[in-house]
Amino acid sequence: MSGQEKLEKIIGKINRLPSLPDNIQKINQMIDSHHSTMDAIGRAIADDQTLSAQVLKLVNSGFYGLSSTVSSVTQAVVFLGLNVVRSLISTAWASSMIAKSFPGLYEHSLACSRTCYLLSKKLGIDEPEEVSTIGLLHDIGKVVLAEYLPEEFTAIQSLLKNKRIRFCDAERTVMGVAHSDVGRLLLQKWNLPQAAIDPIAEHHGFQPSSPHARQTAVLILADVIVRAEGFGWGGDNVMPELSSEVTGTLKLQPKDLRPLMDEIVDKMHDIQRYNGGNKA
Amino acid sequence: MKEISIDQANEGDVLALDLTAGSGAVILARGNVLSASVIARLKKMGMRQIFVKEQAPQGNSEATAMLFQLLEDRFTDTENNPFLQEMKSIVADHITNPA
Repeated sequence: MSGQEKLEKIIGKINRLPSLPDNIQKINQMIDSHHSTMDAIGRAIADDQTLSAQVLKLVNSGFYGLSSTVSSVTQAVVFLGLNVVRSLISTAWASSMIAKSFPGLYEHSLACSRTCYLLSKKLGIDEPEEVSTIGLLHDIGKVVLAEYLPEEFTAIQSLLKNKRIRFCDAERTVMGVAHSDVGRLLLQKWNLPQAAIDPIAEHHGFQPSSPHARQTAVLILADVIVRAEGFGWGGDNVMPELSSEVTGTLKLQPKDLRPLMDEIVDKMHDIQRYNGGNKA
Repeated sequence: MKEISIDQANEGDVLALDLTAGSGAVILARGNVLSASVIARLKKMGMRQIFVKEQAPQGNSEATAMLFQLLEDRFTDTENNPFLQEMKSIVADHITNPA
């Protein structure tokens, strides 16, 4: 199969990917119309027990760095603002998909999201809550792979077994595209904001001139740190690329890493290091 | 950090200071994890004393050794990236002294 044929096959399968559930689409419309009050939106979420349980679980998972426990959806809406809630309800739904994909990916994603939040705060990036959402969703393309492209997923895994190669390079060999590209297609389908899609689409191919380059750089650094520390499992044991363009965008020096990483590790007390299947 | 004789060095020990030759050139940078073959080579070179980080409690040694093995594996071929080298040494500290 040629590269183009492979790509068309993948896109054909992606067109059959799940849409956001109706209830989530309805709430997104309420938020976008600007005619609904926060209270009405909070109630619409609260009416859906599964969704509100997912939202509260996510809000209280250390995801947004909130220090007190949030016990009602309305409170979460007030705390976080409508923009964040809009991504949050899609994310809450997506996180249940991530948890079902392959072992360790949810822990990797959660660790990335916390790290994105902390790095954004420390490095003065706007909207740390949104960057945190991006961190949770950044590998959603791998979920698609595991769930909807089983043949390709198996081929990628056997490649990883036989060769020291990055997951994204194995994907490019097998499919012609990587999970970052697959993620872009899925999140476009879900109508997520461009500010969330760009960093996810570019986290294995940094574009310094992109309007969201700083957010993307934070995501890449977070992914690199979480993999360096070994929290969760992203599918391979090879460090991703960390280019001087990424560290330059964030104006970082190697000596800046230690205080950041010490603090990040403090926030991961509930997330295990991957230890090759051995019990720690 | 503690100073030990090379004969006391164990696989999995982490260098706390750069190991330098008489000329001042760095032979092995701090943060590197000693393997059996590296220890043998250092002995051959006539190294006597080295500075290593405090070892993790013995009870966890097997799991810790596995974490160090995975750390070495994933940082293969990253020697030219100063950020990744610094990261590797920080992670080695975090594995040795968990929060």
